[in-house]
Parts: sequence; structure tokens; C-alpha cells
Amino acid sequence: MQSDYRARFPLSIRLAHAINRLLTWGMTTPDRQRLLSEGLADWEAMAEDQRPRQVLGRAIRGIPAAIWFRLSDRDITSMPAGIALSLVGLGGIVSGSAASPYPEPFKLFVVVTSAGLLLVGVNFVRNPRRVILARYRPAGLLAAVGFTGLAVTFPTAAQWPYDGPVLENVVMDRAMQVSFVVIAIGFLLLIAASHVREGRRWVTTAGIVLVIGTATLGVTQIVWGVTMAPIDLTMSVPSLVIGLGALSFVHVLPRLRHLDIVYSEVKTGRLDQQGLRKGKS
Amino acid sequence: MKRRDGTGLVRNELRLLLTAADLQIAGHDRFHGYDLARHLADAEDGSSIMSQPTLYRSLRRLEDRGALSSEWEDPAEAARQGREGRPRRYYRLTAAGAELATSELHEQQLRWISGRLVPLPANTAD
Repeated sequence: MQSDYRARFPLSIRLAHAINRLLTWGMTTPDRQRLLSEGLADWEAMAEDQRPRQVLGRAIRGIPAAIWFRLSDRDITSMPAGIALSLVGLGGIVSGSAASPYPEPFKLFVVVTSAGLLLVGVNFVRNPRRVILARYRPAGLLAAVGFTGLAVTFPTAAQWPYDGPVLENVVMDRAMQVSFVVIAIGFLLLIAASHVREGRRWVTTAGIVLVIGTATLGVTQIVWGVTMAPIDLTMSVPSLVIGLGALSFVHVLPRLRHLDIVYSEVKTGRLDQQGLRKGKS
Repeated sequence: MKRRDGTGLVRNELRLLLTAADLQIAGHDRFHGYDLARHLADAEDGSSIMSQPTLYRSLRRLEDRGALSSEWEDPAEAARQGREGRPRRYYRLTAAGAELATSELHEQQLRWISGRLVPLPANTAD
């Protein structure tokens, strides 16, 4: 059933429908088309006995509920989170490869990490209702190597290119390094999950570890970004974005437990009934 | 939102289910989403019409539980009513839905009665 959006509708219905289109963006096509078609007929029925102002009021009143459902409903896709992660990864690649004053090894691992996150995000977008473990192997490996590298090559006070006091805060430095290591372990667990029989448990463990790592990273990046603001805005803004992105993922990760977790596509014939890999332990 | 122990429905789902039962008793064998939302608002004097995201999510969950069934309107019927290409989705209360609504109403009555019963003093039986 196609949604039938026609310019001859009154302005209130067109605006209400536009709000619906925006709020359903990223959902799978059948779900979205059903909601849009049903919604359009609904607005039309409402316009028969209500004023345009009331139609618009109802559309606007629905925005918070729709946002909440999109973020929390296990039946709805993880696509927005995947897109956000892809953008964070892309931004990291750009900022890491740009001529920033950080040591070269650190910049290299920023790019590797960002490439891994970009791939994880792309995988979410490709299939937002299932975790297909085999697809997360290259992404997980890149991210794990990248985050480990970031922890190891973290700039020392002597390498710190600014006059500001940021890196002199030992607690912040260690917190950031620990979060890098924890996230790397989380990604390694995700890779391991694709090699074992009871992969679902490993994915759950990986999820818990990633929640801890991303929560720490989110908080430290935001604090770091705020502290950097008077020193260098070009470094502060990406840091704040990464921090907020990480915290948004803390919210999304627990939802992963509701998704189907499979080793690979069913068509490969290598799956058992739960979709996990056969014959390995 | 916490699901109720008896029926496993959240408040909005329950409100819609009871409204659907009410509509069926009133002789409407099928109704679209806005019908339900409007009747609910009318029944609860002064409440505003339920927003679309809340309405459709609740309807979908009631459908998943088998309390409602739904179907798209025949486009020819929509065209006859001047809604060419914009058929409505109509819902019906199923037998399971009617049973669920009855059991909820029964529970509500019990709660209402028990809330008004005054315990007798222990020695009045003699």
C-alpha cells in the first residue's frame, strides 16, 4: 500500500504528513508505508470534523511520543543509531587525517578506529533488525585495533601540542585510556561471538562491556571537549560530538538484546535453528 | 509503562480496547484509528484526541495480541466516498479481544466493589 501524498491536500494535512514522514524516516519500507498511509487517511478523517489548527496540534503533540518510540521500541529499527555512528566515524576519519597537531601514530589510530566505527554503523544501517555477526568481524577488528592503538599512543604531556592544562589531568587521561581498552575488549568479544557455538551469550557480554566503555568514553569526551573549548574549538566540537554519540549508544546498546543475532545470512546454509554457527565450540 | 498483571495491557491499550468494545456494542462492526481515538476522547470528557504515534503503536500491539484484526478498505469503496487512492485501515474487535475486554471490566468491577466494602468488626458474627 503506497502512501498517497497529493499537493491538493489542505496545508494542515500536508504539514502533518510531512511531520509523519520525518518521524518515520529510517523505518523499514512496509512498516513506514503502512503508518504513512494509515496516518494520511486519519488526518483526512480528522480534517472533516476538526479545525486545521487542531490537526496540526495533534501532529505536533505526537512528536515527543514518536521520538521516544523510535529510541526505545525494540520493534523499531536501529537505523538512526547506525547513521549517527557512521557520521561519527566519518567525522573521525576527516579530523584524524587532517593536519592536526597530534602525534602521527595517534592520528593513524584515530583513522583506523573511525573506519571501524563507520563500518559498524553501515552494518546497522544495512540490516537494522538483525545482528549478523560475520558482517561485524572486519568492523570489530578495525575498531578493536584502533581503540587499543589509541590507548597505547595516547599523547603524553611532552607530546601535547597545546599550552592548555587538559592533559595534565591524570584522572581524565587514564579514564580515557581505560575506556579505549574496555571498548576494544568489547569489540574483541563481539568477534569471538562469531566463532563460538553459544554466540548469543558472548554478544550479551560484549554489549555490557561496550556499554561500560562507551559510557566512560562519552563522559570523558564531553568533559574534555568542554575543557578544550577555550583552547581550540576545532578539537572541542568533534570531541563533544563523539561524547554525545557515545552516550547515545549507551542507550541503544541494551536494545540490541532484542534483535535477532545470527552468524551469517541464512542462505549460506551454515546456521542452526537459532542462526548461530554449527559445529564450533 | 508497566503492563497490568491481569490482561498484560498498558493503560492506553486498555482504553482503546474498551472503546472498541463500546463501539461494537453501539453497532459499529468496524472502525478506523481516528474513529477510535475520537470516541475515546468523547467518552473521557475533556481529554484530547490521542496522538498518532501512541494510537498506532497501541493498535499494533492489540493486533499482535489478537484482540483486534485489521484490513485495508477496498479502494473502490474509498473512491465511492470521494477518497480516491486513500483507503482507510479498518479494525474489528475479535472474539479474543471481546473476552479480554470482558475480563478487564470484570476486574474493574471487583476493584470498585472491594474499594467500597467496609470490613465488619470481628465480633459482629455472634
